[in-house]
Amino acid sequence: MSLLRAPELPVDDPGEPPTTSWRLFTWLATRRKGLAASVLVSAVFSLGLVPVMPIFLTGAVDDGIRGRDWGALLAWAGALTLAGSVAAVSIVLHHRLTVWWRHDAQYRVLQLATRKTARLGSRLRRQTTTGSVVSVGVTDVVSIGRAIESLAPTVGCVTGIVAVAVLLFGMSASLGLTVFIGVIAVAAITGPMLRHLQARYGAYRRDIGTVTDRAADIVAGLRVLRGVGGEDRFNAAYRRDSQRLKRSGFGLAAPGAWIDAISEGAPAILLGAVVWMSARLVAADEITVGQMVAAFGYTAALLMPVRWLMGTAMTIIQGEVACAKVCELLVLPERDAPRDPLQGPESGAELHDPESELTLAPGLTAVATADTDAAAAIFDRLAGLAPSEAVFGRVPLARMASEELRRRILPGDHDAYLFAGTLAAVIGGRDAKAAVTTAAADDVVDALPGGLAAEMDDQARTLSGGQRQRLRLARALAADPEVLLLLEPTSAVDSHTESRITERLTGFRHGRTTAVVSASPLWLGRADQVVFVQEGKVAATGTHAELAASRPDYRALVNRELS
Amino acid sequence: MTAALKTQGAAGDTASESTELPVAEPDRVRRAFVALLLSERTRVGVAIALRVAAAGASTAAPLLMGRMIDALAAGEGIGDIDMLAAGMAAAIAAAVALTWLASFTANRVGERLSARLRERFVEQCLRLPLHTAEQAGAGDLMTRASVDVPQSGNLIRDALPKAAVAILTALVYIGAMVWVNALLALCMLLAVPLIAVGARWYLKRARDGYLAQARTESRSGEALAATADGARTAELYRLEADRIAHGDTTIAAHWAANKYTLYLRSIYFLTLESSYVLPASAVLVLGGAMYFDGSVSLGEVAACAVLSRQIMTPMNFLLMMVEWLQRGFASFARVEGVAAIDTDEAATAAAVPADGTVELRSVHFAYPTGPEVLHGVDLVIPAGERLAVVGPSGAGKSTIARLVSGIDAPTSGRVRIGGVDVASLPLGERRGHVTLVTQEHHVFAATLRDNLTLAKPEADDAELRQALTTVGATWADDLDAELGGTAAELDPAAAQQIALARIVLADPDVVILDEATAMLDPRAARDTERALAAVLEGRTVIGIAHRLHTAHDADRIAVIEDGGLAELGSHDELLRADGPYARLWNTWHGTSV
Repeated sequence: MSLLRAPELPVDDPGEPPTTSWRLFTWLATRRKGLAASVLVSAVFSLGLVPVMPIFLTGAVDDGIRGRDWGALLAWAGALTLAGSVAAVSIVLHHRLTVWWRHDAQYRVLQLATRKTARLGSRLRRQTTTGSVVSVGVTDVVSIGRAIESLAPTVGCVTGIVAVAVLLFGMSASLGLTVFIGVIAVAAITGPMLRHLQARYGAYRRDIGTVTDRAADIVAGLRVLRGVGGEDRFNAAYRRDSQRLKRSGFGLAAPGAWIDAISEGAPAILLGAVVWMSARLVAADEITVGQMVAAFGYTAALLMPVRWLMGTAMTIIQGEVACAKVCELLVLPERDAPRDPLQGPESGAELHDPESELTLAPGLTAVATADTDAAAAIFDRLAGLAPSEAVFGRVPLARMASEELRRRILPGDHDAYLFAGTLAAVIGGRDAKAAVTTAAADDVVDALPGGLAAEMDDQARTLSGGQRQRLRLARALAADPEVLLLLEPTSAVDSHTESRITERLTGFRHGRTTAVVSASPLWLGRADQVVFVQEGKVAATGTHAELAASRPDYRALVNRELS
Repeated sequence: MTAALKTQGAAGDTASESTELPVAEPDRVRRAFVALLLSERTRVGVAIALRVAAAGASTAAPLLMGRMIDALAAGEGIGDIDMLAAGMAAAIAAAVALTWLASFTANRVGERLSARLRERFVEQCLRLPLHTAEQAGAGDLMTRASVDVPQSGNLIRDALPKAAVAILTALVYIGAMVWVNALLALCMLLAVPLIAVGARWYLKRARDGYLAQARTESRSGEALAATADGARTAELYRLEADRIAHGDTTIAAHWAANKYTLYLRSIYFLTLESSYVLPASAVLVLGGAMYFDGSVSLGEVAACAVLSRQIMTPMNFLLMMVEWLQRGFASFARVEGVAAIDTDEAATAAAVPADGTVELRSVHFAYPTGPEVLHGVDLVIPAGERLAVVGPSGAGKSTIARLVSGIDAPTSGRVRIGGVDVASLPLGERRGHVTLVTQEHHVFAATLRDNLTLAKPEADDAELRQALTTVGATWADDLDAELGGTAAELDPAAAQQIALARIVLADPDVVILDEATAMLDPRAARDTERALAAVLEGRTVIGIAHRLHTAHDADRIAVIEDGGLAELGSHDELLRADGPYARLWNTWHGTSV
């Protein structure tokens, strides 16, 4: 990989990550080994070079100024300028490499979250919330990116510290030892303090999440609050949570201040000690004034690396917490693929759910029930989305491969999500136009600028409920599955349109299996078979006329609908 | 901090897309930010003063070092050096103590300010005009609440104090140099031209760059949210690969925006880093010349040389922070953008609606970017009447609901309740008279009680239970049950019942039900509507429905077709008229038992 060209991101395949936090962190940092290595090397050059700059001061002060030698002074000053320029270029190069490195990791996490979310599919809702998924993709990726980014300066800083120690040893063993022991002492004091802060930080992060969720909840329900009232109460509740968060943050003020005071104070104490010691060494004629200036410069230059190291510890801790959140998402169980999947039956096979005793054969079956939830549960079993004994022909659905199941059996949820995209892409299928006509949605399409080429936003928010419902139906029809299970597909459209839909759908789905849950006489009257379901079980089967004649409870259900 | 602020100010306001809320203009960002700081002026002042004192104490070491060098040159003994060292120790102790205090104060102020910022944001959201609120359910405002508000919090709590420390430290170092030798301090000016040119170039481009970065970031967040919300649908329609590809596309856009800002920083950093190179060398050369001249001591040259290098530390740190500051201020501009939305109500009607009479007089309406959807509707609904509005989807029924509830104002014509123009009623007054319930519901992450009392704060438990019973919410027995959010998710029917119970409690003169029972199963819908009718006796009820039983139960029926009133009358009258309604009814009835 070239050091001058940015990597192509995102990558095609983010890979298979480990699912414990530290291992995930390491894995993310080492996906591009060449880049990671370049970042570390450039860190040594850019940040490692800064602390050793005072070496030029020594020369300038001793040989040039004190030696009253113009030539030497100009030579040392020129060398300082040159070294500074090299440092400037390498700092910029280092920054670029770091940003590439960080984003490679960030985007990988986002890609992994997206892929996992897509794979979870219908199981997602039971195991997590959209909010947690989004917080991984929006907040945690940033924490991880910052943590990875801070690794390189760490290496640069450590290099700088070692280089300074070596230079000081060269001058005076006691000076070198003082600085070295001092730096280790600082680390020893601050380590436990950071661990303490880590625990407090975890709690604080949860509080931030709670308060953010509360604000999001208020925004999501804003139309209710503005339309009906209650702003003051929700505002007060938010303020309470916000104030609690503030107090929780106050609890971190003192430990945070200790970190700051020590990260400033420890190098300053070292600095004082070094100046004092070196002044005494100058007085004893063991080192020169120029070396004393340099000793000061080296130690002062340690300020930055030490502060960085402490900041880094904090940043990496936050990155680890974020990695743990990512792992929580990544380990959520997906649908178990059957060990050796069975081939599904020939087309035209019957679909049977033993629990409800519902059987679907080719043709239009209308399911009449007062309990839509029970009907939805039956459909989930018939589609292999919920564990059950349901069979397709003779093949248990649980033994069929997901790919085949999804291709052949489609539950057309009435609240199915409409993703953003062109209308043609939203509806999909081979013949979107025919599906739109069958769903009596031609007027919806015609009213949009560009027709099928019109761009829709997520959930087609600009359309009315009835219009969206017809688009959902068109999409289900366009998918053209062997078995189509429709739950209240026309509950939000007017009767005139509903009548048109039932008529066209019967022709469109001719010869294939279609089940519709509805108590509307328009569907019931047109169905080849009507199944009357009570308490989740089939109570009677027949034509609309037969059931209406033989079952008073069926008649009551339909008449309630009819008035 | 200053740099980032200027950046916001450099470029003109970017035209945000029409569907998105405004982003605060640079001037407004600056004023809002200063106002925010001033809201805690004493504490902010104390924190800054402490920090200046701490930085001052920390310059003692280089200054005393210069004195030591001169003392050594003057041939003074170890005793003097030890005295100076003791002074240095005292200064360091003071620096540590002052740093602790400064940091402690700044941390607490940061908490206070970010609390104030987020509380103000929510308060402002709660004051948004109804038609803005209507569109704000998800998307842009949501991203601002969930991403930009916490980001701005980080800016205030974390990034800004660190940046401020770096700036103050650099200033104090320069001050110390001037104090030692003003002429040598002038060498620092050599850095200015390069910094000025670099900063000018950068600041001209940075704001747009970072706003684009923020925008693409929020897009990729929205893409992930849609994938999560629609995970089941993606599985059913085998759209997993599409969702993944879509996510990757948003990432690619984000990366493109990021590469641009990285390019900007690459140039900017290079000019800044290079600019430090000259001053230190110049101090040495000029200092050398002055020393040869005898106008300056070796200690003074040494102190200045060391200080000119030390300034790099805070400046470098500041450079590292520029990106986070930019990002933070971009978020801050988005948060402030919400505050920039005009919430002053034009509504100034002094009159109070006399009763629940609803009048529409030659009402025309067109959405800002669309064709006209209502072409002159005239309709009077006497107080206490129950009117059903039926008609094909897209005929304009929901638009009538939005006009009567005052969400939108007619393009021409008048919509009045009790003789007063709805649009001229202040929102607080208006919603006491008219409420719209649609299919879209929101259950708050709060107790069932809190979800209901927002409609009537003073309602007691018995009243709440009565309201729940009325709407058939038999599942609701525990008023303290936590709903929404991470708590047990309610099914759409239960959410709808909560929305209806709120209406029962709010008890306005005019109730508009726009397909409000569509999520209930047909039988429950029917029962609920009847129960509601009993409770809303005497209120004007406009029921928009596609199910004809609602129409049959109503006093009168208005048939809307193609943006106009096609028929108006009672069920029996309309059947006799044998018009569109009769045809609809017969289609329905023809297949009945």
